[in-house]
Amino acid sequence: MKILFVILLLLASLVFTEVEQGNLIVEKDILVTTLPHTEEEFTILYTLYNVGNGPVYDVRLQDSDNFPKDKYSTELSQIDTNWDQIEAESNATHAVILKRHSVGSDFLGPATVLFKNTPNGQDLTSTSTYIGRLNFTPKSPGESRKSPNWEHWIIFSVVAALVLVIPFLLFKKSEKKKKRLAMNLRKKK
Amino acid sequence: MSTKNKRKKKQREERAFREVEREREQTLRLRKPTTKQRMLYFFVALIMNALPTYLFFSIYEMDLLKSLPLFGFVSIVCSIILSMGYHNVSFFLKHRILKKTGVNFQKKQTKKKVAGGEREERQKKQLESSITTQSVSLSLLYNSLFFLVIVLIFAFYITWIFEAHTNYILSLAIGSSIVTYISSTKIQ
Repeated sequence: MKILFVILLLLASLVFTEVEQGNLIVEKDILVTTLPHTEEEFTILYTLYNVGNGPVYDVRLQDSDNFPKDKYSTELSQIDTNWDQIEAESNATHAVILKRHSVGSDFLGPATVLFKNTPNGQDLTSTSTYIGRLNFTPKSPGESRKSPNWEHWIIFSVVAALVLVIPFLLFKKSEKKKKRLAMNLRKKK
Repeated sequence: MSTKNKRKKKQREERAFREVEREREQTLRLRKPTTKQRMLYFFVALIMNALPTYLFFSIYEMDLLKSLPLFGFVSIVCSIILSMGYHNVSFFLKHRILKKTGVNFQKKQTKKKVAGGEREERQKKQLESSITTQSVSLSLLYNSLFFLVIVLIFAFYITWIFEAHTNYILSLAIGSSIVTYISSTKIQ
């Protein structure tokens, strides 16, 4: 009986012991204030949150399928990347700057992230959030003129005012002198 | 009519003719700008053309290095046109102010030396130079303001539909042409 009770206890401890396991939640976001146009750079930010209680190993981010090379070009960094390890309760980010060369509409779907819970374990998959459909149109010539551009107008106004104030001051100075001289000459007559 | 009266009449006509000729010569002398004036007008016109150029490369995002030859050429041509407009208005204003002062600027050709005559001549010269300064500064102020207003209206409300380079050429060329044309109508 005692031996049976000890065996049962050992079995229970095996079942109820917490196994350290990582779990990734991936967010995919586009960082723009206005919708991007063709030949205009935009940034995609991937944030990987390890919400598990153990580290994840051999993390691979794959999203090239959503940005084919014939339509998009990358500036400064590659879309697909990897991390050796992401600790528990920490996160990692990856930013990509892209440019679309042709007019069109694309559905920017989720990215795929492969990772392992142990260094030699099986590959597990996580998918990110998605951005959705984006329409890429060419930039119209009136686009930039409609935006405020306050700093440019302020600089322009200040320089224009300076350039116009100088002749005005000269005019006032010469008018006083003219009145004085003309009065002197008329008195002599 | 006796010969004496005929002679007097002829002398009067000759004197009147000489007055008219002298006034025409003075007008022609004022009509041509001096080298100093030309340089001043061109320099100010260059600055006035540089201001809208700054707006084009900052707001319309024209590449400064690539468009530098275009900026240079258009600015120089429009500055030459605008400087003609400056002189037209300055000439018109000077003529008007000279008449308003009520002072006779003609040199009295007498053989006798009048007391205080030299001092009076000096004062007349000073008065003429201050009138010149007044007319030039007023012309620069008026024409520059007029030019800026026209260029901004064209660049942002009328010719904005064109491509940035075409918009730049049109707005500056039209602005300087309108200013010079209106200034030349004043003289006529």
